[in-house]
Amino acid sequence: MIRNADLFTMATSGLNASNKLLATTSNNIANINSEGYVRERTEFTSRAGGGVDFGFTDRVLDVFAQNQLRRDTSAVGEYQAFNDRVEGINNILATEANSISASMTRFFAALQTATDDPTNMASRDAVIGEAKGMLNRVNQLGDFLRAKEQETELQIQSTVSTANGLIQQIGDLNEAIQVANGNTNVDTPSKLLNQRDQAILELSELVAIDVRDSSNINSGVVVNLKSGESLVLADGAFNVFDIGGDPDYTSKDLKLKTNYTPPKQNTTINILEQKIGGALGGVFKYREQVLEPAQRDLGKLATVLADSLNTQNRQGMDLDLQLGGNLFDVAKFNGINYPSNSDLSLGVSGRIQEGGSGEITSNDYKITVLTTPTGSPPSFDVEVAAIQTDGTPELDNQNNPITQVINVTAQPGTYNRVIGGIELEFDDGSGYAVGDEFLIQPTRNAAANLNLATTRAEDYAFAKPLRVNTSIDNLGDAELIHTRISNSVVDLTFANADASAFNGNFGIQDSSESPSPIFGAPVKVRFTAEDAYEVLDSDNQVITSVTGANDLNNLLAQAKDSGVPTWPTEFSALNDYPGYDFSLEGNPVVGDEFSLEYNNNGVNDNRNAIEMASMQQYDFVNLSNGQQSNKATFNEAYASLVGQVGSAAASSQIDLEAAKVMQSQSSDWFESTSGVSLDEEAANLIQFQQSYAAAARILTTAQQMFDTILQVAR
Amino acid sequence: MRVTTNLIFDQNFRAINNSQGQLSDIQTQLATGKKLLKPSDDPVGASQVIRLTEEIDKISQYKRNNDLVTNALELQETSLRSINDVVNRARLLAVQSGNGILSEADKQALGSEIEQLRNQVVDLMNTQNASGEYIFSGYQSASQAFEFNPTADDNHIRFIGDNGTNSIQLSDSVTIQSTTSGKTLFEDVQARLDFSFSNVNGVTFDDYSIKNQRTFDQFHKTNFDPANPANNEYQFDVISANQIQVTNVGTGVVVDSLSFEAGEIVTFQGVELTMQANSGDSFQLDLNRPKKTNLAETLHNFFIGLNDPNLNPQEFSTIVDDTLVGIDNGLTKMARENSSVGARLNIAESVEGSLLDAEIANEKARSSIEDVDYAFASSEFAKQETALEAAFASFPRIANLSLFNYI
Repeated sequence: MIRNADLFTMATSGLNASNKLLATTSNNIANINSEGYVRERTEFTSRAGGGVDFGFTDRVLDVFAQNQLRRDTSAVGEYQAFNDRVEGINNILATEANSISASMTRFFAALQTATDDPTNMASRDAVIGEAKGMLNRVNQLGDFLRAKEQETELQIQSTVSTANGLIQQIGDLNEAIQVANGNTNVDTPSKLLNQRDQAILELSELVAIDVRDSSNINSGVVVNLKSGESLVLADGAFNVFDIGGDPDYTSKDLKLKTNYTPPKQNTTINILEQKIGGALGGVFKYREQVLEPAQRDLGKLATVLADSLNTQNRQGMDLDLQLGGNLFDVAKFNGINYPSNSDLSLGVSGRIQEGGSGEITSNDYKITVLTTPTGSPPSFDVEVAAIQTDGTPELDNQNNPITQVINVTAQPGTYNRVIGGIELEFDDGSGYAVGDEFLIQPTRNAAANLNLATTRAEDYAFAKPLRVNTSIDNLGDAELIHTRISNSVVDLTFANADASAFNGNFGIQDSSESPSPIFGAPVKVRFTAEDAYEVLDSDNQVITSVTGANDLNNLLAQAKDSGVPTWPTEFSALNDYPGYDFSLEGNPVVGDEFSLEYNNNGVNDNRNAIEMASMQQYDFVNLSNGQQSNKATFNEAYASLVGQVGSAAASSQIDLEAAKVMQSQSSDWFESTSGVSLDEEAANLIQFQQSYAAAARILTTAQQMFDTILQVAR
Repeated sequence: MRVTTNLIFDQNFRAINNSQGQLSDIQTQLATGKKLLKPSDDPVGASQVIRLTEEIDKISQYKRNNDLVTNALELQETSLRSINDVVNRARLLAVQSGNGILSEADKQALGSEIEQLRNQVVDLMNTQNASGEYIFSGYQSASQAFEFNPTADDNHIRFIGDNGTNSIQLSDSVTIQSTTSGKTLFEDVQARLDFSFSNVNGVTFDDYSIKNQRTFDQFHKTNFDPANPANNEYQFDVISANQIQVTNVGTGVVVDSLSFEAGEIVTFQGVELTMQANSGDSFQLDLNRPKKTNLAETLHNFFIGLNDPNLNPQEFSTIVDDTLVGIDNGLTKMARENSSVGARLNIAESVEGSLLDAEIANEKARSSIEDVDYAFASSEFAKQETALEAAFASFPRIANLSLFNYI
């Protein structure tokens, strides 16, 4: 073996090497608490001519552990973000003080109490009080969800700007690392690498990413979204996220914007928000899967509750002996124009059709203009499509999209009935163009915008506006079993096809008020045999006669269907005229009479109140958007909302726990490779100290040898 | 595995954190007594609790309804019983007055008592409840059910309410009638069925009356035709010195042939006639259309009869007959209503019983979903506490183990 180096050189290289080892160890100890620090190790090879080489300090890193940690961090980030937010709603729904369910139960209980004694003002006032309480709960929860929505939008914004900062940082570091690598080929630029890894880890918490080393550029990394779109390129170029609001500027969506240097054209790429993972994906998922559906479900419940109670109240007579009015005001809603529409000043607005609550779902609707407006006022065809909150079409039970093509008239004040229990009002004008699109959200803010229409306790219509009087001269034993009021719309001009036979002046239309030129509205039934009867108006004119009646149910409907002469055409032309009916039981005798009259002074009547109070136990609210037959009571609908949010929270908790366990395992794995162990470093310290001392000893030995030689020579 | 310093701290910190979290959850459960603190703890349970709570609240409301309906029905029962007592006394007096040996003065004395009884009945028919509503007025409870107008020609005690009846919900499926209209209860009472003569040709009646009301009622009910009045007319032709033939005017059918002797009783369907007639004479006996008279009206008519000195015994005894039958019919009607009230009270009671059962069952179900099992929770708490204490105790010992302490 040839050694051409002398002891001094070897001693010096040994000292240097030990020094460097001690420096690495000290650095490891010093950085024990540094975030993102990766343990370093200096490795030496022996020099060819003797002594030790300069050595190479590198980070001790397991790339697989690192990637696993990033993936698990993304998962935790996603579930943590989702879970944190769901918990917010979950907690508020649970509190008894905020429960709509409890306030609805109290409202109906107050209604029951008032029903038992309909003239008692104190119990009527209690109903108003409970109605206010119920409304406050609904409004509060609606406001709360709206605030949560705004908070979410802000959250998305700030998360996106953080992510963009990180993306830019990673790109910059990519560039810097290349430069550093070019400058020196001794040690790795570990500080920069650590910084970049840390930035990548932070980014992985916000979005799910794939990281791989660049194949052509040394120590550059490529960062992609899980779905493949690239965020950072190896040469330092990067793409950033861009937030849009198309068409709904209050509901952000995400795009990717390139960051090319001119003259290369920049482009934007749409990305699927729910699939991007990480905290950002979690927030989007929460918005699409929990917050927006909850908001709409609550809006649906509020709307159906208000509309059903309104409808029932309108069929009654209040304590002022007037026909009942609305109890709640369901707010109108404005459509949102798509930015590509031909004329952004033309809009569409809508309202819930009175009595249309049976069809209300929690869907949004997309309106597309299909034909060019013609005529005056302009009319054209539109397509109304039910869509879910994420913009995908709602499917019916046959898996077909729920759509309707309908001709509408664009004139303020003209409401066009469409699917879903809603009515649309278009702005005046023929400027609508084929392809114009609008988004309407009937239930989104309905809960927050619900109002009381009356605060007068007298306005609760507990009575029915009609009573049936049995003539005292009746010889038969037939008696009234049921009076049905289905319509009490007052319109003596009959321009409204919904008009009823009530004259709005505490009475039923006589021959001068009714739509027929001859007859007044039917007010009396006179039997001409046990199964035959005549229907008379208030002037005792026979409108029609029925023979061979099978039963005595809905006598007026039977007269309408099979009476001779036929039911006056003016009556049957209206949608629901006269709007009332009654049924008897027993055996009438020839000459028996039953007459209908407006329920003047009928303050003790509680028939309508009973029906109103019993609404608590009947199914009104559509549970499924696709199928109209699946309905639930108000309370069940609320319970299902709570259940949905609860199960989303519960499953996200489980997911979060699982992801955390995964993350702790991969972080343990990563830490066990790359973490600093003080004990190990202590041992190293001693070891390198000793090797340093030994190298120093070589030097003294060499010195002594030199001295010895000198003394010999002296 | 290589154990690094941070790993030791991280793992211990995580363990302590977890332990503390679980301990705090159990502590909250123990403190609130509920294991279902938020919907996510048990989503299905949470929506069940909402439904059960509604059910329980509804039951307590139904119980309140039940009390109200019971009160209302008991008030009705009381007034009906009082009317019953008053009217029975009147009936006694009517029977007494019918024995034919009363002087005018006696009649007047009876009359003044009947007047008092009539007033009581009118009062009771206008019974008010605690909130001042007239309970027999139908829907128009703000005004009296019956109006007494002594100067009217006919129908002095007039019903001015309506047919309306209210119901009260006692459970999700049971709704019972809580009020009864005075119209069905008092007004719709059949008066005594009667007949009258017409087209009398040569016949003079010495006496006539319905001796057997039941037979006559039966005949009237089977044969009365509300549509065609001629079918209610019976032509009596004296066809020979001792023979009368009875023909229905409407149908022309010979209904009966009666043997006849002047001054002797002839009986036709409960009607006894004594008359003077010759062959060829005739008269018509017409079935009167059934009338309805309320109890107070019946008493009022009786009172007028007692105070009318111009009535002959024949006329007076008709009035007594009318009174007795009217009272009997009225009492029958009330008895029927009273038993219906009783039946409804029974329903209310049995519904309340089943509501109580349902309430207990629901409370139990809700409790099993949301209430904490203290035994389980306390032992769980102790377990977590031990774990946390162990973590606390062991952590410093591990953390203090460092090679640096020995060099």
